[in-house]
Amino acid sequence: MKCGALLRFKVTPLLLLVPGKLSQYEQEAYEAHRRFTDSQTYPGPIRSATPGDTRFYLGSVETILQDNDRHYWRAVVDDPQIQYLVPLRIRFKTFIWVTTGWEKRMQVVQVMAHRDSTIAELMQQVRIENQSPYLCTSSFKLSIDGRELDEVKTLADYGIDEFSRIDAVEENDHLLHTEAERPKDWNVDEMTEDTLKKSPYKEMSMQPQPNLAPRYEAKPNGFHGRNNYSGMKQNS
Amino acid sequence: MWLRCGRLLRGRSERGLYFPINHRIVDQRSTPQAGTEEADIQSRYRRQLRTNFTTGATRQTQAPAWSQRVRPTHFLSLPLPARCTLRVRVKEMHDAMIFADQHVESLLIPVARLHVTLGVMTVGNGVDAAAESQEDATEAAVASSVKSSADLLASIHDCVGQAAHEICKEPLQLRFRGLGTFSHGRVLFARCITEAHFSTLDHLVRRIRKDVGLGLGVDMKGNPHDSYVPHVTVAKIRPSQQAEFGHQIPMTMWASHQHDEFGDVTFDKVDLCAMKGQGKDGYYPVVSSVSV
Repeated sequence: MKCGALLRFKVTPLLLLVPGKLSQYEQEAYEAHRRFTDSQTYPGPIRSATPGDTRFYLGSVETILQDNDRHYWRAVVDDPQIQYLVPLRIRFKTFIWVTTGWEKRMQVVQVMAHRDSTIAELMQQVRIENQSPYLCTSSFKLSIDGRELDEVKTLADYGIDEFSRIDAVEENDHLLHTEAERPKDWNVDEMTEDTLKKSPYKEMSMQPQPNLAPRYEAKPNGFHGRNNYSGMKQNS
Repeated sequence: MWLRCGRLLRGRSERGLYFPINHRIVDQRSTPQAGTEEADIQSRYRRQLRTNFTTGATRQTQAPAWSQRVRPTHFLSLPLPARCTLRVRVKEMHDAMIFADQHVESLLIPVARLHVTLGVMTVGNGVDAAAESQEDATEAAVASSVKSSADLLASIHDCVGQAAHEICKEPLQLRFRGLGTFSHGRVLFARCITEAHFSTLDHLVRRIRKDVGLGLGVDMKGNPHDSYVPHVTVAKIRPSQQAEFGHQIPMTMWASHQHDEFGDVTFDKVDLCAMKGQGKDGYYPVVSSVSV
């Protein structure tokens, strides 16, 4: 009996993360908000009874919560609010030097976009927010599920909320399967003088310095086995 | 080479903490696994963590959805006396803003229109009442709607007069310092700080809101039990200007004036004004006024 209760408690947070549950939650929140705005007799919230979040709490790290969430225990369910600033996550692909070669990984730029901003404004904001020098070097386009987003349309036209997966497609992304566009790897390729003066290779400093100066992460060759990483199980 | 590395190392240790405290941020809006293995999420989190004091954002009483849909028609205000430092200093600030950027001239509120807003309300006129029938006071008398709204204004005037008579024993001396913004940076205003006779003013505002909002059933744009942030609107982006100026007033425009002192003003009148049209010498048309 005791064991069963314990199990249930352990399982519950996992259940909350299931995407189906998430969409159910979204849907319910949306409906609640619509019904809330439809009401005709609501007098409005009282400011002093609807506190904001606190910046001072236990723990050493600063955490950012959802904007309907607080750092303290508030048992009351607050009024559903419109999110004016939507945290949007834009996925880029970057090449990460893992010492045995380049690895293609996902890097996310998170921006707080205004609720009715256009896609062009969103892209501009991404360019501003991005702090990696390797991301927005060329012009990029946003896409959802492979379909490009039109720059003049707004977020609401595509129904973009914080859960939508937005990809950034850069100019030469469709050429990355070729050798020419892919970054050069000094384990395999020859590094000439003028390549070493160019962007990623210059600051990577191929020749080891006494302190091994920019020290990158390393992944051994056999890390994933004989095949590369894949979503599906490969036999070998 | 040694020298360069040495300089790098020294610079790093000299400048401050190895991992600066204000960079230690955990974003819990994304799923817990996302940041560790799948991808790294980067953002300039300090922008979201900026506080109200920095951004100047102020929480005004929030109107419920049904009353956000109707435009406010009347407001309670303290008109500025003929000669006061507030007007002069706001004029100076406007001049400085225009000098910095000429385009903003249309955003600024003309100096003749400056006032302290004590509350905003929708007093239903005939069209509103017929279309939406949201106020029982006007709903009852759609036929003679003009007359009823006049009645309503008269009774609001009575309420305000009674409240002002009971609460304010002497002319209100208020102090203005600093700028703030409402509705996500759309409205820029001079703050009335909580010194001098502010608490009297707050009692007055609460009393009026309760009397007018609850007693008369007027839509006061917010909960009648809540108080209102009295303010002097200095600049705002009207909905018609949004295509040109965007959603919010750029902070660079007012950042240098953010903590300016606007001086003390003594008020001896409470006005009920209409929002539409022009009154005498460029002020709003005053429906009725009560002397404190």
